[in-house]
Amino acid sequence: MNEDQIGSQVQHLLNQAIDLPPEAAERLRAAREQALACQRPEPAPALQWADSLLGSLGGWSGISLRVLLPVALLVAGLAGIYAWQQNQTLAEIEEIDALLLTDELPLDAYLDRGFQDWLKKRGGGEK
Amino acid sequence: MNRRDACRALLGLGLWALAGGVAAQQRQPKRHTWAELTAEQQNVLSPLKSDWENMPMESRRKWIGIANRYPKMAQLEQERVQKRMQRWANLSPEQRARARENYRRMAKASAEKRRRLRQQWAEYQAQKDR
Repeated sequence: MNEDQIGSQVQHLLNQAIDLPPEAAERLRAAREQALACQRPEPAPALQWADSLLGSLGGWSGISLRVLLPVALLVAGLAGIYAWQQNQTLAEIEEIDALLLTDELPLDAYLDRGFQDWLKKRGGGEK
Repeated sequence: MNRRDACRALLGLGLWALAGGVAAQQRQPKRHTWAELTAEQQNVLSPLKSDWENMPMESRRKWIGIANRYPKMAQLEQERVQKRMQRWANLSPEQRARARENYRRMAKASAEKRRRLRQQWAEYQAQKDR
């Protein structure tokens, strides 16, 4: 017997079972409800706010863990990178300031636009 | 534990971690007031004392870093730092940025060129005064 034949046999059997007496159908429905009620206990009160928050955003079916967790990780990651970069910039500024304050040349040599231009002109002339 | 509970727990954990990260970002464990500096730091940074409380937090942290480098500097360098500190702190942020930019550019030059800069600076000043 191949798969198709098994399929049609099962279909036939299931179709026969549809013609249940109303009491039997009602009992089946009640049993199903009961089973579902057992499967879904009340949410823990401590995290009920998370449920209501998600409820307003479309429910658990609307936003799944598959979306939320990566987004949360991404945000945390970006915040981390930003903080690190900020720290690097500050460290670099500290380094350069320390060099400038101790340099052989006075601060004016680096502040004077005229000197910078003069150096450029001379540099160009020497080439 | 069913999937719903697992979701809730993970979401809670994620939000908690996120909130912790944000809080850590905004919390300033030390305000770096003048009184919080060590005696040695206060001594090195004394030219900045009057402006200290008006300085932004990043500047204070930078100066504390420089004060911590100070003991390792040669005597001549220490003297230069003392002499330049106040002027440097009183420059506008734009002026400081320009000086740093020029320094970065000039520091890239060869050692030979760097040596000549001192002489060129003297030459330039003599020419300017003429």
